[in-house]
Amino acid sequence: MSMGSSDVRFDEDVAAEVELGAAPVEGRSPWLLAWQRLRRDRVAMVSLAVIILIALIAIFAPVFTHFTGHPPNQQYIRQGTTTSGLPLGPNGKFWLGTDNLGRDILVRIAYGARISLAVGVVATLLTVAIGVVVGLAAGFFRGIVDTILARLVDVVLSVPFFLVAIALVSIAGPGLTMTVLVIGFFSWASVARIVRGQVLSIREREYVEAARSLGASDLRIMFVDILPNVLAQVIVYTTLLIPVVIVTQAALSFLGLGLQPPTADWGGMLAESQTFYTVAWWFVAFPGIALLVTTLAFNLFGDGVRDAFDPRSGR
Amino acid sequence: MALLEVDDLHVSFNTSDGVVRAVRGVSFTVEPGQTLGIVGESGSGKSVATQSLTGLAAGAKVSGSAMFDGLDLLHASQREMRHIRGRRIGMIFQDPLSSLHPAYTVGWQIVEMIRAHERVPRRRARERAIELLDLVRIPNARARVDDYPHQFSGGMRQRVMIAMAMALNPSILIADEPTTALDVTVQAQVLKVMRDVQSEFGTAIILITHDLGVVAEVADEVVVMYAGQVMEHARRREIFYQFHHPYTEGLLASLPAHGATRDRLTPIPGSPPSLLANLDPCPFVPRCPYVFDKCRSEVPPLTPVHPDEHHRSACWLAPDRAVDFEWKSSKFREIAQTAHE
Amino acid sequence: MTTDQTQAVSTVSETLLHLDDVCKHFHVRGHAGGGRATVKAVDGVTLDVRRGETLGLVGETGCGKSTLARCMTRLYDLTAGKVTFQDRDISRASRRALRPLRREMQMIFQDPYGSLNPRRRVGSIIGDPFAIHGIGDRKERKDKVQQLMQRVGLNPEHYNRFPNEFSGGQRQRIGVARALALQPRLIVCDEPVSALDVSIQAQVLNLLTDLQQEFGLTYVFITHDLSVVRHVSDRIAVMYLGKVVEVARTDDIFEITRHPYTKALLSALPVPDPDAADSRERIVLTGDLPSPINPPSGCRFHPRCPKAQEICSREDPPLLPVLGDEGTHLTACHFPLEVGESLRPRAEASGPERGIPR
Repeated sequence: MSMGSSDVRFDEDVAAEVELGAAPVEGRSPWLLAWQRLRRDRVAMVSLAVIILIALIAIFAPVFTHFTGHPPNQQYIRQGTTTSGLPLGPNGKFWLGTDNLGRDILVRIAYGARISLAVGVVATLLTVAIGVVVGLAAGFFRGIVDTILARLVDVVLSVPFFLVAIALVSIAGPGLTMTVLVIGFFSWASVARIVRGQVLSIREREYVEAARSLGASDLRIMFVDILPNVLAQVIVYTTLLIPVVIVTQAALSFLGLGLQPPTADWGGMLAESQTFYTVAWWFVAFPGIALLVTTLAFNLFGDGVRDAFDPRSGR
Repeated sequence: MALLEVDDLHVSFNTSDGVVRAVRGVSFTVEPGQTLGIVGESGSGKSVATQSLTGLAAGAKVSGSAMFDGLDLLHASQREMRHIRGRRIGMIFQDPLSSLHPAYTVGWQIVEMIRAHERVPRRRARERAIELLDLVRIPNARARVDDYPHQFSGGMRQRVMIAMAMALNPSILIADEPTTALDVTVQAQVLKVMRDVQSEFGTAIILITHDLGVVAEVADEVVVMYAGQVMEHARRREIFYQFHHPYTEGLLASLPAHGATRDRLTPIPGSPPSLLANLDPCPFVPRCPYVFDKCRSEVPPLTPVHPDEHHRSACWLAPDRAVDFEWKSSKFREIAQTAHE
Repeated sequence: MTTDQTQAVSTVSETLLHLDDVCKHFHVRGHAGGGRATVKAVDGVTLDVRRGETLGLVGETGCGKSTLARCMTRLYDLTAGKVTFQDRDISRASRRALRPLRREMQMIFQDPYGSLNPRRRVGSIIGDPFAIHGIGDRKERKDKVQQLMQRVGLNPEHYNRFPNEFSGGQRQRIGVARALALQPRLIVCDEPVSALDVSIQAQVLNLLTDLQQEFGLTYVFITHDLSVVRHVSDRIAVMYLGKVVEVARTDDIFEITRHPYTKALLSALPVPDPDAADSRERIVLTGDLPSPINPPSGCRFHPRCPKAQEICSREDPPLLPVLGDEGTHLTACHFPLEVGESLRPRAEASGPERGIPR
């Protein structure tokens, strides 16, 4: 009796036996099929709902100010701190409590969501765009182009992130732009590597050969034939990259390298809470939970997206 | 006394697209020492049927019975099945590269196989492994027993699989498309080894294939499957020279080797159905040129074909159609001609 | 596959494609033996393809037929040798120079599941040739594509569907439509029906026959299936390990088999005919196909050949008519078979049968 993984092989066989002669269904593109699969994934849908919720919170942050009457950077020393100057716990006025300067944590979390999502999405899209172009070029053209680009990618990936971040910030000064640039500088390389790998395998497929035999130019093959097939993996990776970027941005702020106070930002709040966590658990807990929930939601959603595109990888 | 008696086997799967009924009431028997060829195209359910016999059908709903030496394979416990698989029923698959573990030597794999079922000292098992490799004509067996699968060519790997499957002298060997991935000359070698093994050990073989040529060479009995059902069941010669079922006729007619003229072949019009759908009582109805009303309303049972009781066909056409069949009067031919005009 | 077979024989057919001592070698790294190695996929092939005929190209794994097909259509650069298409030497032509020629030569591929881009709609795939060569505007292209779909037996309404919604046979038809779009002269079919079910194979083969008659196409038909090649071809070339060992008219290949390998191949072919299967002589070749990295010296078939003698291991036999055959029947063998001569099977031997070397 063989020791092969007969179970796995069997599933594929069944699929093959089933797929044959399947009644043609109207225009179900691979994208549509993936979306349908995603819809059925409850965990992914809940995560998506959470993401949308967080996005709404971010967009409508001013509403929080409106309802509570507390702007994010406004310090309420008298109402918001104890007599000894320590933060106040959750109460009727400040639903999630205050920080050491009497600022409303709830409102600050809402505004912090703006930063996290904005940086998360923008920085990610930027890096992915660069990474895809580099990866496509490297994987498709091979030869000298590939060698140069691939080595460049290797160099970038081997650089220790935080050390360089510190160095750059000390030269150029901290801030939002710096954060986005620093994150972008390092993340494009991993995208490029993945895309390059994909392209290397796709370019050997028969349909690429067919396009060549028709006389298609390199550019056309890259964008019409290869790119759409790489896109699925890229989308998955992007969705999973966003939480990494969010946490990285929070980490930079935490270290004082990113956004500076008084800007409401989850990482910065966590930094400020360090001295007070023994007496003010809410100061650590709520920004921490916000970060956790956001990251978790994106990760779970990303898992769902990956499973939707490639059903076999999940099980 | 039949070695294996499969009765009314049904296998279905729940998939996200619906319920796939892969096998819809299949019955056949295997006699000791005989080769049963199961022929069918993709989607016929031939692989699924045999895999469900050995409990390899993951996630399948199985009904019916498969009596093997007093035990119903379909309703046996895991423990009983583990005892049967490998020892009483051996299996070989289409792609030996994925059936053999790449990180262990061939000898080790055979030895483990043997020792999983019998308490035999390693040295004795290793000797047996060498004997087996010799049996399947691997040259230099004593040296090659310590080679890894990738050091063998495709045909040799398949022969190693046969050796492994035969290690404990099973009464039945199930071979699922064993030569499909092999070149013609290599295929001939592997088939020869299978026949030699059979004549030496009296093993019954269930050979699953889509290749009618292989069936003509090797099978004693033939079962023709389509869309999860048995269409026809007969001895080798009858299937080829006195077939009854229109599907069998269509299959044979569409072969280039049987093409009467060089110009056009006579294909079966249309394509095999989806197993998700509800099919007509006889699944071949949409493509059958001899179809009439009864075919759409009543399931044709496997009835004996005149004059041979043993030869059965699931078709409402008259039983004596098989005798004196004339290729010239084949309705498939007629359709092919008119389509061309 | 023309009904008028005599035409291919009696008139001097125009040579559409001529291959002269074509070689294609691949360099591979990380070979099991360490270091670099050269895979001599095609090693000196001289062949003609005549206008209007179907040339069948048969052989087993590693014989180089697929590689040769790609050399013919210049998808690969040649390592050596010459390819002439319609009297133009295209052996060294650049990709730009070849572009207009791509309209004249097309390929149909083997894998119905891999030869179509799964993320593109079928109409776009079939319309690719038009788009690439800038023919017609959108509307015209759509019309042409739908006409093509109809011609190959697909429903033109399915223009916007994706490949995964079609069966294997239908996908091959899509591939045929794509190849046909620019009305080429030559279509190289690389195992076009091997992945299809038997009943569907016949449909696609009929389609190819009809198209050939309708459009005056020339086919090079690559396959490992001898019964299929017998049906479709006017002439057949048998390849072994990068070289052509025998080429002749179809009937001659089967009735006047000269090369021992051809004979072995024919005898190994399972025929769906029990009486024939029982009665014929079966020659089971010993050993396995050697690797094209290290082909045997002299005649490449000599280690497995029952008739091999000393000269066979030294000298590579030339491809020419033997034993009084006509000019259309060429064989590369020092000891070609007489009609009706049987191949004595060689006794089991150890040695050159180790398969892939360590």
